[in-house]
Amino acid sequence: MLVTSAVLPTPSSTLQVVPTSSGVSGQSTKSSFRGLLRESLWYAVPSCLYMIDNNLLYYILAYIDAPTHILVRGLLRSRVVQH
Amino acid sequence: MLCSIDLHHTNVLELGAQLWQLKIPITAILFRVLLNKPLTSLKWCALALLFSGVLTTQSGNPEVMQQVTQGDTSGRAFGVVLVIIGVFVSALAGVYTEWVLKRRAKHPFFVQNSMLYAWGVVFNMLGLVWKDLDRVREYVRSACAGRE
Repeated sequence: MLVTSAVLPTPSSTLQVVPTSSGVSGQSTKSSFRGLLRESLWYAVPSCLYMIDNNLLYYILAYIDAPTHILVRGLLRSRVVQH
Repeated sequence: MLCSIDLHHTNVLELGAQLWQLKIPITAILFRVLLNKPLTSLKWCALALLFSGVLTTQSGNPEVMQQVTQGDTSGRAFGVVLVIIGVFVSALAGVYTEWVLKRRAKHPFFVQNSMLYAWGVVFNMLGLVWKDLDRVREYVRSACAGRE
């Protein structure tokens, strides 16, 4: 978290969808959009982590479950041979 | 025979499930370290109780467990490593989400959630393009062909 806070820009501009009274209106909406984008960057980190986590689950199931698969198949085969 | 198959199955899955319970203490530690919020000793005791309770309720028959560990264990070590990485990532994601959501407590919650999910869409699109763009193309083509 310390690393990301160093990398990510410190958002001095907060979520300002409503343009401020000062300055040209077009310019201020542009800067507020940029502020929104910049603010939303903070949310990119957890969503990326969640995506990694979700995809890792499939790999974990594949590796933890693989011996089970082999075991069950072996048991079934021995059963078929017996009968 | 069928019963024994079921037992084996549940026990190997339990290995993953039990390891996954490491998420509880790791989340607590990350919460303490990254969010810099001290937990009272009562809360630490409660966490320890919760962790041990979950472990004991999920532990299975030791005899069957032994049989399973004597079986083929080729891919399992890698699986365990993946579980530990996954636990860390999951706990970090939880703690980081809490920090990010509470950072701007005045912002509307649904706006914050929308940002989180919008980034999720972006990352999933990147994964889609990286991993199976050809399959998606094929799927879209077949879907369009089916409609006509």
